[in-house]
Amino acid sequence: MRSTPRKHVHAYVSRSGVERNTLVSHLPHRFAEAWNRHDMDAAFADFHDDAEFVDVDGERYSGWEEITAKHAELHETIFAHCALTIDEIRIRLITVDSAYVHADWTMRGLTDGPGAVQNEVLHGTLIFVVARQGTTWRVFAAQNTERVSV
Amino acid sequence: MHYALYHGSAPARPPRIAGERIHPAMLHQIPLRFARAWNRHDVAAAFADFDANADYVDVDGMQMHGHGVIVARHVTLHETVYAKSLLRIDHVDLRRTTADSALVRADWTMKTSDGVRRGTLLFVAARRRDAWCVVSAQNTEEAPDVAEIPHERGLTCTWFAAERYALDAP
Repeated sequence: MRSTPRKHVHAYVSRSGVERNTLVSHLPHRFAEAWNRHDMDAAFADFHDDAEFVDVDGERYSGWEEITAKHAELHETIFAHCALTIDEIRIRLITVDSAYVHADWTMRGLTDGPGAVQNEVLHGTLIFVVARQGTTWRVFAAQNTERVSV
Repeated sequence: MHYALYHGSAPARPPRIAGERIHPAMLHQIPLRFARAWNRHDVAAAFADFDANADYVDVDGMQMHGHGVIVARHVTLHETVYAKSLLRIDHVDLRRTTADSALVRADWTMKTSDGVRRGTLLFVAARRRDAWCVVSAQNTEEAPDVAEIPHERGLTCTWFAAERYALDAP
């Protein structure tokens, strides 16, 4: 568990509905951009302190500290050379102060156990569930599902 | 990029009554009702709590939009791969995100003719009048533990272990 305090918090500031939609739509792209820099503090900056994350293997991480710490470990091994691309996003309002974003993604360059970069290209969908907290929007839950090739 | 905001179908905010609360049990029941109906292969009942415009991402990452599409797809699946499936809800976590929205996370185990699968199903729920409805659900299957890897994949793991041993040997 990470002992250092949370930093790089650039939470969305909601001013108008239009701006809110724009800000929320940027979330997956900000996530991917930070992911590709292997900056986990920035990748999960918009996550609530008590957020939950379920990865493609069904592994569940609870709380911002655990989510960032586990992903920092993974970015030293299997994700050390990977590149994440956001292909398409879809936003839906749940209520006036909550929404979810589906982000379809492609990932290349996973590293296997012995440290070799694989040629395999993975695809999947990541859902972010966001809600307004005062003047900011936070991710309360994210869950990832890999798309099975048929 | 697609924006699909609930413009026309946004629910009217329910009237506030002093001391009124939606009992958490109503949210807790969503995955339990889903599983009971699933095991009867009553797909219409399984997705009865889903909104007309709901989204569903299944364990294979297949995306479905709209109650009709979700039901039609699952009717087909229940005639084939899920015909003898048995779904059990092992644990349910509730989280209110706002006054009128909530997250319901259900850990599940499924018995099928191919073996046992486990995973997590996330329901995103919105309060509509006096009930909760599911506006989105996403399913993720747990990667099998090494001990549970089927025989043919177990051979692959053994091969990797042997290779690593050979590399580490003096």
